[in-house]
Amino acid sequence: MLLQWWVARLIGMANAFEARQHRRTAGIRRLRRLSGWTAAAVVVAVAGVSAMVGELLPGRHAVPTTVSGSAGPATGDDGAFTNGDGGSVGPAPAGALPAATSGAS
Amino acid sequence: MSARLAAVAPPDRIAVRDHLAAIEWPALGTTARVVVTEPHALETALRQVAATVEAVDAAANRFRDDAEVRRLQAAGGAWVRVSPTLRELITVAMEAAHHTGGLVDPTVGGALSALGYDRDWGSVDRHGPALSPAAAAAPAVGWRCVALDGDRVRVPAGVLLDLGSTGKAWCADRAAAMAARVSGSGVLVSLGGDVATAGQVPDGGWVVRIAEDHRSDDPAAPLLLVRWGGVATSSTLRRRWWRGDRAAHHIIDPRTGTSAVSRWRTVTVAAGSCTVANTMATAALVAGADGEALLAAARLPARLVAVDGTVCAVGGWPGRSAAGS
Repeated sequence: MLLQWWVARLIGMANAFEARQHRRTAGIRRLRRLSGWTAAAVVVAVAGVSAMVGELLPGRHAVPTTVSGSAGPATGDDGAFTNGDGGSVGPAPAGALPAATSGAS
Repeated sequence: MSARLAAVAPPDRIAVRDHLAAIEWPALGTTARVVVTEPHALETALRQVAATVEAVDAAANRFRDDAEVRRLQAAGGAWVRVSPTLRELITVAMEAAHHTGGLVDPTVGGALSALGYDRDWGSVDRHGPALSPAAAAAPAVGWRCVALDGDRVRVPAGVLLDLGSTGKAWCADRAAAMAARVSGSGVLVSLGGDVATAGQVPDGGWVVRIAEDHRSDDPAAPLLLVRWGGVATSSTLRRRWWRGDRAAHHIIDPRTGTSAVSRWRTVTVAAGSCTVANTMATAALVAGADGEALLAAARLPARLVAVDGTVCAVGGWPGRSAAGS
């Protein structure tokens, strides 16, 4: 009886071990698949955010390279000259000291 | 303080205020001003701006004997190889003409000369004799007659280019961008009131006074906060002169070949660049009654001052949305 009990237990332990191994292997495969997709998604997200941040950086549009759509400045070499963008302006706070004057010369 | 900086602008013209450093000096027949957000970067920025201004002057100043644009004039319609700076200036002028339907046209040089603006502004006779009938105004030949092929340009014999409508503003844009790049500072460049910004922005933005004369220090003048882009003002009140009993000014209507007769006396425009701002301000002045609609269609914030002093704002210009005085 005791021997039977030990054999059954050993078989059970072996089965449990095998099941754990199986689960672990499947988990690793899943993890590998997931990490592949995650890495790709992270790369895409970082590229997207970088592009957005680049667009939003102050002064970026003030570099006179090219104008397309509403991108801003004029021009020369390869640029179209559009007038669809008003820069970014707003009301100055009361009492502010001007850095320059826009007027005719 | 280097000798170069001192030569371009005397140290007593340097002002530091609100963490901004500024310097002014005479250039391009007017006043150049550089403001930086990092005072230690002033000298670097100033050198870059001064170099850009000199390059543009050497390329496009029609009153300078050694200017490249004079070689085009002397070529009698032949192809002439030009520097990248002049090629860019001409390209921009032609783009401006194209996008304003010819309201801003570089081929008005002859008309300006015929009206009396044929030398450096400081030497122009403000009260000259009446023009002879033979000098009757004629429409400008038009920008399409100018041919560009790589680094070569051809201008028909007898056609004089005046790149003033876009050249100064383009110079401000280019100078600000390059100065910001080499100095690492936020930079504002004003060339006779054509204002360009580049690089980092002071807290809130650049505060720019809006006036009809760029030398104004009127404390009651409206202020504009510029976060990025440029601002330019065109006016018929400046650079005026008389020939007999006839007044003339430097804003030429290419359709007539004479000083524009406009509903507006001054137009200020904000845009993504000073070049676009100045082009559209001049176009609105020349367009006259249609100027307001032109700017509204372009969705550019603009402030127009009518001949009678009435002020009109369009395109989200801050503070005032309807006509008022």
